[in-house]
Amino acid sequence: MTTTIDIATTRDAAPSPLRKLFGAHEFGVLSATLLIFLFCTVFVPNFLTSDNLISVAQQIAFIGIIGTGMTLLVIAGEIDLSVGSQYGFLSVMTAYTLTEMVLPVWLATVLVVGFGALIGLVQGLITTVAKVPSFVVTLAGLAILRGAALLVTDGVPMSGPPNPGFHDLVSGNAIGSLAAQTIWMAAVMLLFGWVLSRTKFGYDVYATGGNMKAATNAGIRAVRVKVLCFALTGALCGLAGVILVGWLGSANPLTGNGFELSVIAAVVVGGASLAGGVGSIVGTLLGALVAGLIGNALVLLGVEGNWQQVATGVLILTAVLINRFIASRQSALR
Amino acid sequence: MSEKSIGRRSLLGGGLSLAATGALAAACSSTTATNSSGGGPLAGKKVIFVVHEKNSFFSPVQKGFEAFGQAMGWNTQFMGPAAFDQSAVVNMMQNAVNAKPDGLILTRIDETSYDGVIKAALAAKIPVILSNVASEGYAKLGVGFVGQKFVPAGVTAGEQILKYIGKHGGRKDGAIIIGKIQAGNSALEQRGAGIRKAVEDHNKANGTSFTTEDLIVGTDEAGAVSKINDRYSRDPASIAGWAGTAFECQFVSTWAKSKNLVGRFANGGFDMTVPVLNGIKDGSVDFTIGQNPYAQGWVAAALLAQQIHPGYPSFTYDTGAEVVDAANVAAVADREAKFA
Repeated sequence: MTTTIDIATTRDAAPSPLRKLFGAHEFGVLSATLLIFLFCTVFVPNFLTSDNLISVAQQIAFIGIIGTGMTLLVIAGEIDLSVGSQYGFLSVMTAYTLTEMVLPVWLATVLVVGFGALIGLVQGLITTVAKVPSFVVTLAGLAILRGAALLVTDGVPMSGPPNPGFHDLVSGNAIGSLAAQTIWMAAVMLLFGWVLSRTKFGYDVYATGGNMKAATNAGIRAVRVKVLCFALTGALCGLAGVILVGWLGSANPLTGNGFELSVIAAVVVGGASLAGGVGSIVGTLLGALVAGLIGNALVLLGVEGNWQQVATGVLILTAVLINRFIASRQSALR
Repeated sequence: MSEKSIGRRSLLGGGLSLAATGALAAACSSTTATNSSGGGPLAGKKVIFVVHEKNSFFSPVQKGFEAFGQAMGWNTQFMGPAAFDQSAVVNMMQNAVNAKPDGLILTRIDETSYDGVIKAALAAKIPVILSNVASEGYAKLGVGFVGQKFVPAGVTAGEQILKYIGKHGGRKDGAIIIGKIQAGNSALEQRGAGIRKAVEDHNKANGTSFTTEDLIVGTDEAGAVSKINDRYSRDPASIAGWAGTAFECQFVSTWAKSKNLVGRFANGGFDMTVPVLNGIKDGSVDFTIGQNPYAQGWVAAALLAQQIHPGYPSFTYDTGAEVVDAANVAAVADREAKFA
């Protein structure tokens, strides 16, 4: 322990800004993002327009919001495969509480976010108390919640009430043409970025994911930390569901179908380790941005639909390889 | 090794990788763009078609769209997510608008979710036409639609399944399973409503007591066959017929052949995919209802073309409900093979 501190003290004695940048864990994904952005700027028609860039920022909002929760979980050494179904089910619940129960928007939001936290809490407790791997628990959750969404809606999209105020709050133009979804995402990521990097809870999350036994021995209530991470992820799925209904005016029971893969991809591309203990909100934001830029550029380039799937996979893999390559060189430097 | 060299090498390596993948993307782009063989004021136009889910049904739609585009000398792009997800479809449509095409063809599978992006396209002076599915309220957007009228088509399917139940033993009661490949698709729901209406009308007119029940099977064949088998196992004697709202009858055909149950109940549905037509040929499917998917690409593109130049407004074009059975399947299969 002393040795580690000594090394850290020596290394961080007077880091130059350049060294700090190159040493940052997110430097790899940042480089990949900048390279993709540069490529798009030069080669992709209609890419570098304010409307298009604002649109990309809007499109990554849901991955960013739910990805924030997933980042906490992955750092804590767990995973939630049910986030797509949670997002779908909770968007359906939003439409249901607004349309069928005729609740005011604020109350519906509180209920749906709270319900999301409850779903996460249950999954977290089963994972930690019953010691069932989160992969299995949330896989079951994926099926249960998708089925629940279909049951509530009878398989038919459910309309939300026409409410301009609600629409403006969650998807109107917040600053200039910038969509409110983007602001919601920024607020969520800033808040949890601060929580992870500046609070004891954030330290506990890293410690729990890094070595749960050691964290427990050090007095950290690791089980509670993990359950909290599940609950926060569920709550963020609820928030995303509310924003979606305000934006589109309806909830489809298949909303979020396969979305968990996009979220996990953003978190992993952002440098988080599925083994736990490593990751950051900034990395996840960049990972979401990589996904958003690639999806946008392929359409603008005129790439045929079937090839888009292939190209998306190839580009994400390339981004991860760049990230890994730079991370390995950073390790060698240390 | 210095910090500078790490950054330089990394960026160089990354740049090369991205250049390679960029070249791949550019290659894909150039190979899918329709050759500019046409002339006139429409030559070189960029037209994008975004569907809610790319599955086998849309293959002839794409062919029809690209055939018309080739004749006009357009650059065409046809796309959709591999699996339906509401926000993924909206994002893809928004990216298509951002590409500033000369025209857009979209599917609108619910009544509100896609209106924002349609309005954004119209505000950007991009002509839009809907194809395959438009959902209620599309007319207020001021856009045309090329596709089937789903409730009447569902009624036709219901009448057909009742006719074939009569041929397969003449039952007067039993369950008609209304199969769905997807929940939340208004077109399939409307067809299902049409089937139920036909069954209710038939019961009233003939004193029969058929019931209907929904079964969502998905598009994955193995999963669909399992769900069909599970429903059958629950109460084998209760089932009088399987009436799909899309191409579910091909899954029923696969399952029935594997269990030696062909002919024990009526089986039919929609669409003219190769497995469905093969099922009619071998007797494991009784009928299918076509909706002329080729026209949903070709006619939609044609309406869009006359909207772009000289500027006639688009309108609604019903692609009909063609009944295909053993009597005409050979001719229909020959026709459809041209789009394979």
